[in-house]
Order: sequence, then C-alpha cells, then structure tokens
Amino acid sequence: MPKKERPSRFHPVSHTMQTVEVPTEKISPQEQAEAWEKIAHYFRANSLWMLNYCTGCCAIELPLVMTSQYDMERLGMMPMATPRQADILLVTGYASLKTLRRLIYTYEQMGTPKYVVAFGPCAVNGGIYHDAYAVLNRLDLYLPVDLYIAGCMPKPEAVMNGFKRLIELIESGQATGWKDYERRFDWYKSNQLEAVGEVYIHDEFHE
Amino acid sequence: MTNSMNNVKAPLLAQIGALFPEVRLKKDRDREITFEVQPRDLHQVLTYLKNAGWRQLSMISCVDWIEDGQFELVYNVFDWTQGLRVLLSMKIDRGEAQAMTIINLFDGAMYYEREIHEFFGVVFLGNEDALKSLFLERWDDIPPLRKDFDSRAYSDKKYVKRFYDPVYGPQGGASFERS
Amino acid sequence: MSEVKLFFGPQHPGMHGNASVHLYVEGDLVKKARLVPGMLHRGFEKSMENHTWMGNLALIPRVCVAEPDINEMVFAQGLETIAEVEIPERAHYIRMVIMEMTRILAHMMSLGALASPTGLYTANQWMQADRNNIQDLFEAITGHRIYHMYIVPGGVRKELPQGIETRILDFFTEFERRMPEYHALIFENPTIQARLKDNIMLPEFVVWELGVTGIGMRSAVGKPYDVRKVTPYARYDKVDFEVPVATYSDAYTRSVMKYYEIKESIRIIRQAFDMMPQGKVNVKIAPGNALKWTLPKGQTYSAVESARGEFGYYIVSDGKTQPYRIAVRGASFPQGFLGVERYMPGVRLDDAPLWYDTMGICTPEIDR
Repeated sequence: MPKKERPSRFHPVSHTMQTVEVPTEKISPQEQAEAWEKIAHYFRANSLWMLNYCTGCCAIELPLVMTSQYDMERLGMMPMATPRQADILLVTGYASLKTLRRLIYTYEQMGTPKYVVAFGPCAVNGGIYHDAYAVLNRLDLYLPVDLYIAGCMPKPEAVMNGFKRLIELIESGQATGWKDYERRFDWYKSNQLEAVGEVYIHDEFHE
Repeated sequence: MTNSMNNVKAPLLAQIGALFPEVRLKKDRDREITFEVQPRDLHQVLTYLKNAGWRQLSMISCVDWIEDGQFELVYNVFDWTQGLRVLLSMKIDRGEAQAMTIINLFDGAMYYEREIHEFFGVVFLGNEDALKSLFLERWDDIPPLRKDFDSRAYSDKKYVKRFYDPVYGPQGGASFERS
Repeated sequence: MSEVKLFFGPQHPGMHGNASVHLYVEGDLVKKARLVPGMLHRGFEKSMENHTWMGNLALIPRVCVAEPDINEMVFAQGLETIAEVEIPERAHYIRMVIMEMTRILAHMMSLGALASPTGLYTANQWMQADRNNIQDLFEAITGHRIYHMYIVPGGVRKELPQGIETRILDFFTEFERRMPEYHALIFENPTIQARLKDNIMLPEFVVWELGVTGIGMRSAVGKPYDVRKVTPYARYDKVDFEVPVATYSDAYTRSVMKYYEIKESIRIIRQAFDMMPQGKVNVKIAPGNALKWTLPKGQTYSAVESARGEFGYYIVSDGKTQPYRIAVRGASFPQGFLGVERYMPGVRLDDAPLWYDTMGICTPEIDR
C-alpha cells in the first residue's frame, strides 16, 4: 500500500538562487554594486530575525506562528531579543502615542537593512480606534511600512502568508522602506515630532 | 439564595442606618447595595465596612454628571465571606473637584485615585503621587474622560487621518496626501 | 556596588504585552520597581461612551486580549441587570462553556509564558499547539479565533453549530488524557522546581493590602474566594466543581493551581453540556432595532471570575442609546501597580519576568 503523503497547509517555500551573469569584460562600478546588491538581497531574504516586540493585540497569534504549529523557522525566521540584531519590526496592531515613542527608539536602534510589517487595520487608518484620543491613525507617516497584513486579527495563516510575501519583496529588492526612511528622514522626523512632541522618554516616576 | 442574602443585608442596613443617619440607601439589588454618602462620612463608613468584613476595595470609579455640575465617586468594596458588594456613591463639586484620599484605609486605592486624577482631574488630598501622570504622556488637553472632552474632535485635530476616494478598484484607493 | 537602572520592557522577551517596568538594580537584586503603563492605552472608557449599546460589542472584547470573553460576559450581565431581563436557560449553559474554554486558553497562555524566563521552551510549544486546537473550536462556534463577540446582551449570538458538542468533548477527553504529560513536563521538571519553589512569595496580608483576587488570593488565603462560588453568575451554582486553594503561595503553587483549574474547567464544560436544555438562546433586552436600544436609567457593577481574578465593569446608563459611563476593573490592576511597586523589590533580576507572569498580570486590561 502506498504511503499516504500528509497534506501540508503551506506550500514549501523554495528559494532559487538567482543567477548573476558574470561578464567577461570589465564592468563599471555601478554594475558591480548592482550585482552585489542582488547577492545581498538573496542572503537577506533567507535569514531574517524578527524583533520580539508586541505592540498590540495582533501579537496574540504570533506565539502560534513562532511555535511548532506554523513554525516560521522554516521560512528562515527566528525571534530576536535585541533590536540591534533584528531585521524585522512588527507593529502588531494599533500604536498609541506612548508606543510610537518607543517604536521610534527601537526602529532607529535597528541596523540596516530593516523592514516594518504592520498588522491589522489599526495601523492603516486607526481601525476601530479611529476616534480614540490616544491612538494614532496612520503608521506610515512615522515609520516606513513595507508590508501590511490584513485582518483583525490576522490569522496565523495570514501572518505566514505575509511573511512569505515579505521574503519575496526582500528577494526582489522591493522592500526598501529603510532606504526611504534615510532619504526622507526630515519628513518622517517632522511627522514624528508633530505627533509626539519629543521623542525622548521621560521617566515620570522618578523625575 | 435570597433568604440568606437578607440575613446578611438586614444587619448591615440596620447598623448603617443607626450609625450614619445621613447615609441614604440608593439601590438594593440581590447582591449589591448602593449607598449615598456625604464626603464627611466616607471614612467612617469605609472604616465600619472594613471592620465588618468588606476587606477588599474592588475599585474606585468616577462618573461625570456634567449637567448637575458634579462628579460622582463610587467606592466599591466586597466581602468575600458573605458575597455582598457595597457601593458607596459620593457626589463632589465638579468645579473644584477635591476629595480626601482613602489610602490610609485601603492601600490599593493609591493607583485608582491616580487614575481618576488623570482621567477626570479630581484631586485627592493626601495622595501626592496621584498628581503625577500615569497612562498618558505629555497630555495637552482637559482630562479625557470628562464629558466635555470630545474624543473624536481631539483625534481629528491631533492625528492625520487617511482619506479614501469614493472610487474603489485599481483607479481608486487610499490617498497619500497629507490633509 | 552601584545602582543601575534597567527597563524591563516594553521590548523584552520576558515581558507579556506592551508594558514596561523600570527597575533599579544593585548587582542582580531589584531595589526599586515601578510599572510604566499606558503603551496599550486606547481610551476604551471614552470610546464606549461614543458607541451604542450594541455597537460596543465589537469594542469590548479588545480590552483583554488573552481572555476576551470575560468582557462580553460582564457587559452582557450588567446590561441584563439594568434592563431586568431574564435570559433563556440554554444561553446560561452555553455561556459557561465559552467562559471555561476561554479560561483554559488564558491559563495555558500563562503556563506557556513560563517558558522564556525559565528556558523550558517545550512548554510553550505544547501549550500553543493546544491553544490552537481550542481556538479552532471557537472558530467553529463563533466564527472568530480570538475576539468572538458571541456572548451578547440577552443571551448568546446564535445557536451552537451541529455536532460541536462531540467535537468539544472529544477534544477535551483527549486533552485530559495528555494532561499528566503536561504535569510531568512542567511541574516535575527540575528547572521549574528550582526556579519556582519557595520563590516569589505572596503572603496573606499582602493579598488584603493590595486587593489581589483570583489565583493569587486563593493560593494565599486558603479559602475558595472565587466569584463563581461566592456570587454565582450564569448557572455556576448548579454545576459541581472544586476551586483549588492553598495557604502557601509561592510561584510554584500559583502555577500548579492553574493546572488544577484547567481540570475543573473541563469538568464544568462536561456538566454544562449534560445539563443544557433545549430552547431559545437569546432574547431582546429592549424592544426595537438593536442599534437603537435604550436602557432604563441605572447603574450596576457586574463581575466575573477571570483567569486572573475578579474582573468587572461598572456600568452607568442614563436612559439613552449609549452608555453614560463604563469603568473597567482589570483583574490585575492591584498587583500590576502597587504589587510591582512594593513587592517586586527584593527579587532577583532574573525572577522579575517570573514575578510578572505568576502574579497573573495582563497588561491590556490594566491600560485599557
């Protein structure tokens, strides 16, 4: 009797090595840089560290994604405790003003390349908290968002799907939020300052 | 159930009535009694209740009765052995919102008072910590849970909204211009 | 040795939710600790005033993420008290099933959260796997995995789907068979025993001082002070269940009590299905369109036993279509604020996450 193959919930992610044509004649420095960039994209997409920071309710489905049921390790992703070694910042849901201040701190500590994934409608337009006095509406004014995952809250399948899409974006060099943040730093900074007043975190208990 | 509750309620009502003539019974539900107390009676009533078994302060909440010009502070104590909840409702003036702290009776009141100060602007005399901010950072308006604070207007003023074109489909979608 | 200030959270693997504890440590001893809340503050109490009674239904489960159904329950219960409506008998039993399933979810979440401070990651893997199964059951019943919006004022939203009873009971029979394995994995594990036993004590006087409820209270006081027993709601007075109690409250006791509570919850679910009568599952609490409901004037405090203790709403109605005021009592408010301030100093730095977890602190319900 032939062995039944267990149906898997996901198609296995396959990364094919992109072939980089090596020309025989001398190539310009710009072409060289582009070739290196392609190689870098390939390696970046295959080893991603997700920052262990949950900002809102959508984080409740993340432990499932991290553990054996959905297992994001097979996409080459692992949680990372410190922002300095992490690649992905997940904004899991709404961001209150107080969170935004910490998010900016965290995001700016992360080394490039870095990617921001926003969960749920709250990060897009405020979602159900669109008229709340403490929750900001549009995240993309303050941080460059590479990918939105829909759903309130996104199911683990949606999260896995989103991560796969993020990997595709990175591999094809389209996830360039961090470059945008560098290029339009003043614009982002002015938006941030307008919302939070001052990014410095005071310790109201001890001052 | 109701009979046994009456055995608990009757002595409580009799005692409160005898000790505190100004305390008025406001509502009597099955397992929840609400009294109206005057600010000068609050500590005495709470002390009596704490000694009589209402050892746990469940919460302090505040209601803004803007039309009457009053804040209503509701002290919520619970007796775990008898399963009866007592709510003490105390009205204070809204203009000069002040009340005496109860941290000398219930330590747990400290942060409830601090929260009420932040959200309603009620000053609790004797609880210095309560004057600091707790949940909100750099708050720049009137206390947010007051009735005259409009959450939507504040949000519209403070946060940039995302506007959508009425056209859906590939031509439409979100507009990314700042308002 | 000099004092160093550390931020435990919001970005920290041992922190549950988006909160921060500012710690002053000397060596690895915590000298001073303060909770800095508000990162999850969404202004629920204000938003609720801007929604209709029924419109609030979408909003309230989001107050506590790990255990959303308690919000629906207190809200529904409070509205029924104000409107003085009796709901159908069947709805009570369905509510009990939902409440106990969500209690199991919350307990498993917090047992799984023992993983990162102790290094026992297997616990989290197993717990999450089983949480997923229960969430699938919830999806079959309500259509949602996390925020169910199933317990509505006047009963439950709709009838249970066909055949769900066997699915639920089959799962819990299987789960009960595996529970000794959980016990062996977590509570007989030498790491857990070394870290949790005789550590992070909660004496009885502290319980009364802070106002701690739930497992923290019962593990120290030794009496079944459970809202389900003391002021029974739904039909908890009809079913037969034990509330585990203890008089020596260390981190181990508080954790192992969650294990026994899961067992009791399964017992309640079985009995609820046995005793569930046929009939309607909801009634209207007010005439007319649900979005134009008005409730009579009145105020009430409605409380249920959550996984962390007494969880309640103080609901004020002024006779209009919207609540006049709803105040939320988060079950972990006392230990989260005053507990951290007074009793976290004195533990070692590596026990701070364990302190936070085993005291049962849920940040979203503190922040609201």
